[in-house]
Amino acid sequence: MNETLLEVRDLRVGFRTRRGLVQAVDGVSYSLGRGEALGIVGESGSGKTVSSLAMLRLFGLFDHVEISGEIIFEGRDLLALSERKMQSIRGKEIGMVFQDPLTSLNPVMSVGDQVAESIVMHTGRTPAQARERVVELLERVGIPDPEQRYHDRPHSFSGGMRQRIMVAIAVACEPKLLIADEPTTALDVTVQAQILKLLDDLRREMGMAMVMITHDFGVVAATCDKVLVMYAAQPMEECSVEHLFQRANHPYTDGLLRLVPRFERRQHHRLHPIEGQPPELTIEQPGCVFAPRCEVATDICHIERPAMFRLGPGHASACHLADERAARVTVPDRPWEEIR
Amino acid sequence: MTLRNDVSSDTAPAAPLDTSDDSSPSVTGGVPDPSAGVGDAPEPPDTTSDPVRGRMAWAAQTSIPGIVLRRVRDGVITLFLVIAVIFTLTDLVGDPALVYAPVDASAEEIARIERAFGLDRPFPERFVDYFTNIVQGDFGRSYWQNRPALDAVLEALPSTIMLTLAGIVGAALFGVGAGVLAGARPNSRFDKISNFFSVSALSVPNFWLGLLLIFVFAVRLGWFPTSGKFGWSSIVLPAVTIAIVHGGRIYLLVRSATVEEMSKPYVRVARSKGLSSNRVLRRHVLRNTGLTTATITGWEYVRMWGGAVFAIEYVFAWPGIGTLMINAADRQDFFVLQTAVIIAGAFVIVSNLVIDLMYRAIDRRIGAA
Amino acid sequence: MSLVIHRSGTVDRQRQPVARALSVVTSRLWWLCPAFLGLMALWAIFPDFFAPMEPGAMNPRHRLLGPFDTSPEGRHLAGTGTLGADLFSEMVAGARLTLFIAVVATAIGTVVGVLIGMLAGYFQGWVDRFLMRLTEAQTAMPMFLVAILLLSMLGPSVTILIIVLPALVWPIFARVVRAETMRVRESTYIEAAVATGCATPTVLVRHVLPNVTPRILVLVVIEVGHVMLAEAGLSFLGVGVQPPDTTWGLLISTGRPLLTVAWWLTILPGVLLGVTVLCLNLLARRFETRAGAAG
Repeated sequence: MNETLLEVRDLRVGFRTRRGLVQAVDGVSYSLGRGEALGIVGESGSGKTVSSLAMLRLFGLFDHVEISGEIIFEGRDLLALSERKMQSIRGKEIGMVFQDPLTSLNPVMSVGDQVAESIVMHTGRTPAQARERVVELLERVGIPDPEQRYHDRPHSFSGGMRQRIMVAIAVACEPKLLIADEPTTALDVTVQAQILKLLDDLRREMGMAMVMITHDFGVVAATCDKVLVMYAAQPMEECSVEHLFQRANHPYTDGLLRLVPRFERRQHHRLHPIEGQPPELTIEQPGCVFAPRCEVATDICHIERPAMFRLGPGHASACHLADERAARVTVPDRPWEEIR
Repeated sequence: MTLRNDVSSDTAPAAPLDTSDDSSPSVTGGVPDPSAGVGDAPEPPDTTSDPVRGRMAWAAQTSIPGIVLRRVRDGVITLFLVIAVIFTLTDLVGDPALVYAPVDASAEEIARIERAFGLDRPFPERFVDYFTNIVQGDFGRSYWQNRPALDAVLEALPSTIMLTLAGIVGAALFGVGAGVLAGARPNSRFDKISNFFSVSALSVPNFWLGLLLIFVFAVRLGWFPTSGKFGWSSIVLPAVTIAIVHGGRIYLLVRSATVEEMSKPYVRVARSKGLSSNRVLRRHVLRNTGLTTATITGWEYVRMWGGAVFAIEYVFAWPGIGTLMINAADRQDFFVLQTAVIIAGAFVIVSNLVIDLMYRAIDRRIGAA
Repeated sequence: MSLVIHRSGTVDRQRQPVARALSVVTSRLWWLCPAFLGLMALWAIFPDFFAPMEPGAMNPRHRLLGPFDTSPEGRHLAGTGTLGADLFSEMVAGARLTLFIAVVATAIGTVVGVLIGMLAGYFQGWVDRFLMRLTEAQTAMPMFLVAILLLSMLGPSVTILIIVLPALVWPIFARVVRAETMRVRESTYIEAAVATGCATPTVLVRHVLPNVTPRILVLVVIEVGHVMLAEAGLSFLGVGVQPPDTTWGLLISTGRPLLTVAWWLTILPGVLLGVTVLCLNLLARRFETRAGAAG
C-alpha cells in the first residue's frame, strides 16, 4: 500500500517582471507515493522546471515570485514553512539534480568537499567523518578511484562524471524525494543511459520517490511510473506510463508522441509537427491554452478553460473532449496504433 | 541595419591589448580588466615548423619568468614614453630661462641665459641629455629649495605613500564589506541605501569632502587636527576622505561582482543542499569573488594616484607630493614639477606591474589543474 | 528575495513597507535629476534672470551674513561673502563657466577618443599597438599632476583647461570604441560590405557607431561629471579658472580661508556641485540599466 509522500494542489507560480506578471505555472496538481516516479514532460517554457523549483523555493536573487497553492510533503505544507525550516528540508528530505553539470559545481572547491557539505550540514558529522561516506557515495555513483579523486576539482572530470557527482550530492543524505531536472539533456547519448540507470538503481535502493523533468519521452519510458504533461504553464494530461503510450487522450500529448520518430515502422512516415507557437505567458487567454494549435478544437475549446476531467483511475486530461458529456470524436491519423 | 550587441566588449578577437572598458566602473559597475599588455594571449606552441624553437618561444610567452620579463619590458617602455612626453610638454610650454632671468631682462639677456643652460641646442640633443641625466639621477635643481629636485620629491614621496595606503585600507574596509553584503541581498533596504551613499561619495568633489570633514570634526568637534602631519591623529581625516571616495567605487564594483557570482548556477545547487544564505556566501561565493575583489582594490589604489589624493593632501596640508606640486607651481619651479610627475608616474607603473603580476600569480594557483 | 506566499486570499509580503515606499518614491522621482540639470543649464544661459542680486556686487557693510539672513538688498539664500556679495547669485553666475568647460572638454575628449578607438580597432597592426601604447602611457601618468604642471607653466586659463581636460577622458572612449570596432570588423558581413566596395570610413561609421552609441552616451554623461569635478579641483588649487571668472570650484577655494567663521562659503558651492554631478551619475545609471536591458 503506497502512502502519499507528496501532494501538490493547485500550484501557481508567477514572476512579476517589468512587463507584468508572467504566470509560469498555472494550476498544477499531482500526487506522488513513496518510491513512485513521476515524469513531468513539456517543451521549454511549459513550466515544468519552475514547478519543481517552487517545491524547494530555489528562485534567484532578482526574481519576484508569487506562489500560491499547497505543496504537502509528508503532511506539511512546504509553502507555509519559514526559510529556516526549508533549509532543513533541502538536501535532507528532498534532493535535486540539476541540468548542466558544467556550471552547477563550484569550480574552486574539491568535489569531495562539495558532496560532504550536505552531510556535514544535516548530520552533524565532522568533515573527516563525512569523508568516508563521501568516498562510498562517489564509488556508488561510479567515480573510479574515489579516494584519490576526492580532492580533484570539477574541471578535471568529464561531463558524465560531473553529473554523477551531482547525483552523489543530491542523494548524500538519502532524501525521500529526488527531483531530477533534465539531468541528461546536456550529456552524450551513451552517457545518458548510464545516468538514467544510476538514478533508477539508487531510487530503488533508497526507496526514494522521484520527479523527473524532461522533454524526452524516451527518458520517461525508461524511468517513470506516471506522467504529467504540461503546456504553457498548465497541466494537460496526467496518466500512467502505459496509458501514455497506448491511449493518450489529450491532443497535445498526441501531437508530442507523433513527433517521436518511430524506428519500428517499416514504411517511411512523415513527422507531423504541431502547427503554431506556444503562447506568451503574460497574456491571459480565454479557453483552452492549447486550442489555437489543436487540430480537433471545437467552439467550446476557445471559450472555456477545460478542467482536468477524470478518464479513469490515475488518468486525467484537461480537454473538453475528455468530458463524459462530449460526443465521440474520431481523431484522424494515429499511425502508431497499427504497430501495437 | 544594426548588429545585435550581445557580445561583451571583452571578447575582441586576437586581442593584443586591454580590450575591456574600465569606464563603466566609474559609477555603474562592471569589473575592470587590467591592461593586458601587448601580445598577451599566447597561442599554443607552434611545433610544426621548428619544434624546438616553437616550444621555446611558447615557453617564453607563458612561463613565469617569461611573463615577468615581458611585463617589465612593457613597464620600462611606458616609463620611457612618460618621460618623453613630460619632457616634450614642458619643453613646449615653458622656457626655464624666463624663470631664471630677472623680470625686466632684455631679449639678449634671455638669449644669453638660454645659451648658458644649453637651451638653444636642438631638441633631440637636449632630450638625450636630459634622459642621460635622469638615468644618472640628476633631475635638475630646484631653485626654490636650492637643492636637487629629486631630493625634494623623494622627501615628499613617503608621506604620499603612507596616505594612499591608509586610504586604500579604509576604502577596502568600507567598499568590500558593504559591497559583499549588498551583493548578497540586492534590492534590499541596505543595498539601496548603500548604493545611494556610494554614488554620492563619487559625486562630490573630494577636496570639498575633506573640507567638510575638517569643519565638522576638527573645527566644530575638535577631535582631530585641522591639517598637517603631527602624530597619528592627523592622518585620520585625510585617510577617511580618501577612503570614502574610493570606497564608493570599490563598493559598486564588488557589489556588482558579487551579484554576478550569486546568479551562477552552482549557487542554486549549493542552496539546494540546504545551506543557509550566509553559508553559501562564505563558503562558495566569497572564494570565487576573492580574486576579483583583490584586483578591484589593487586597481583602485593605482587610480588613486591619478588625482584625488593630491588635492586632498593640499587641503590637509599633508606634506606629500600634492602639496609639493602646488607650492612648486606657485613658484614656477618646473624642475620640481617635472620630477614629481615622473616619479609619481614611475610609481604608478611599478604598482601596476606588481599588482598585475600578483593577480596572475594568484590566478594561476587558483586555476591550476 | 521577495517571496509572496498567497494562501487563501491573504497576501503577505516579506518586504518592509518602508523599503517599498522608498523604492516607489525613488523610481518615480528619477525625473528630478534631468529637471535639476535643466535648471542648472538655465542658470548658465540666463544668469541675470535667476540671480536675485548682482553677483559681483560688493556690500562690505553686509559681509559674512549666514544663509537666509536678510539685508536691505533682500534675503540672502546662501549668505554673503567677505565683501558682501550674495553667494547665491555668485553660484548662479558660476554655473555658466562650470557647465561650459565640463561639456566642451568632454565633447572634445569624446570625439578624440572615438576617432582614436576606431583607427586603432580598424587598422590594427602597428597603428593599434602604437595608439594603445600611447593610451597606456597616458593612463600611467598621474593626469592630475600633469594638468597642474601644464597649467602652471602655460598660465591657467579657460582655453588651456579645455585643451588639457579632455586628456582625462579620451582613453575611456578609445577603449570602448576600439573593442567594438574590432568586434565588428571580424564579423563576416563587414567582409561582404568591403567586398562590395564600401569605403572604409563608411563601413566604420555606419556599422560601428550605431552599436556603440548607447554606451558612449552613458559614458559621456558620467564623464561630464568627472570633468566637472576635475576642473573644480584644479580651480580650487589655483591652477584652473582665475578671477574674475567664476566656477563653483573657485568659489569653494575662495571660501576656504574663512571656513571656521563662514562655513557656508565653502560648503554650499560644494553641495551644488555635488548635487549636479550626482544627478548626472544617477541619470547615467538609469540609462545604463535601460540600455543593458534592451540589449
